[in-house]
Amino acid sequence: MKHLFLTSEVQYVARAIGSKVDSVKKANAVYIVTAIRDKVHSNLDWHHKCKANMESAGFRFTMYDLTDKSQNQIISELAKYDTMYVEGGNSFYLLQESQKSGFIPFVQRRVQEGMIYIGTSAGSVIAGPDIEPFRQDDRAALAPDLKGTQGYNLVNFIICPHWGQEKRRDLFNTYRLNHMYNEDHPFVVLNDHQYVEVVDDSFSIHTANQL
Amino acid sequence: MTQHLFLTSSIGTPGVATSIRRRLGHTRPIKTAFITTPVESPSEQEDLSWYEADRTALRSVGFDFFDYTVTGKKSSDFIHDLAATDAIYISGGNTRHLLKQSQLSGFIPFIRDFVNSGKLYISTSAGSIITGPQLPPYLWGEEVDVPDLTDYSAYQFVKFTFIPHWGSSGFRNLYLGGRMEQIYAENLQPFVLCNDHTYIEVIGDQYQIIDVRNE
Repeated sequence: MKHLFLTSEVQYVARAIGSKVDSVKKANAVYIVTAIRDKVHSNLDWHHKCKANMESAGFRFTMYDLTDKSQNQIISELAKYDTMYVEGGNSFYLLQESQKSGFIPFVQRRVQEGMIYIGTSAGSVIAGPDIEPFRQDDRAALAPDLKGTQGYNLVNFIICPHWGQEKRRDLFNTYRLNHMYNEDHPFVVLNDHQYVEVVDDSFSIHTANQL
Repeated sequence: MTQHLFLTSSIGTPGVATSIRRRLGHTRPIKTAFITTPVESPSEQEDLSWYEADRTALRSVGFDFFDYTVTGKKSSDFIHDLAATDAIYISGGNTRHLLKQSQLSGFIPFIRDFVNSGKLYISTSAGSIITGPQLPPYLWGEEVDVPDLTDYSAYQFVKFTFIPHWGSSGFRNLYLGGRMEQIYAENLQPFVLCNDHTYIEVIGDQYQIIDVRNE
């Protein structure tokens, strides 16, 4: 059974997600940190809160970076996990390292086999068919070896995270919405307290009020 | 019974009606009420070619429909006129006018009972927007056609607001020229931005997005 949780920022919805995952799978989880290893993110308070709230919800993680890994390493080191959390950050750098390491066919196969996939922001966007709508030139510049912008294709829509955040208002209204405005793919637009749960080919939308 | 809806931007887009029909899993004629209320308002009369395309598409895949408006009706009329139909199709057009007439006529409790009984709900554009928790805020406020609409609560079949025609050139100026900015707020339900080639099948509280270009 395919089972994913796609969030804007898991710190606000961790408890709700934790209540839907059994304790064995929560105890055997890997935390992909690649999207924050691009040296752009100087303030990582949000990341620490995401991790802390996931741990409070019962998840136990091994931290893991895809950077410079081979496909053999990916398979041998990640196949044992029941749950994978993919952190937010730079989706372009994350995709570049996913391509270089051979991670994409691995994650596609593991999700089909029943590994639970949880994403925050970039980790949710990349689960869809394409990350191009979220291009920001400064971030894409940190992924010079990127070969195309096709995502993991775990779902057939694109999550649009952080809707309504005041600090992103200008980004959305002067740039991002223009970039999103095409007929290529549908979007599910979420604020930080909403998340999508995917079970096989269907999804549901939820709101959590965790502070 | 489990609710079953098909929410489209435009059922007349090639492939959409055929895809919906295929997902129903049978070829029997489906007795359908075609709700024309959204196209009654004067603002909709300029170009109805899309409306004719929607009707042709529905008819071509076996929806045996008759036209019906909720305007001027009362609750008992719906039970008499619509209870024996298999499906209700709600057209695109003026969402505010549709909501106002739904409120005035008592159509909202009827359509909720109809859908909760497991009968089919199919829609285009305005008929899809109105299935959400409330109208999107860019449809709030004064409008010449519907000056006295003050309650924006909608049919509430789904937990998101359907935003139709995403990416189409004809709506670019509307969406990017103010509509999206008006709904940029954290206190609203989620939005699903659907282009004309995609539609959503709703079964209970589970949603699936289908892109007919991939079928």
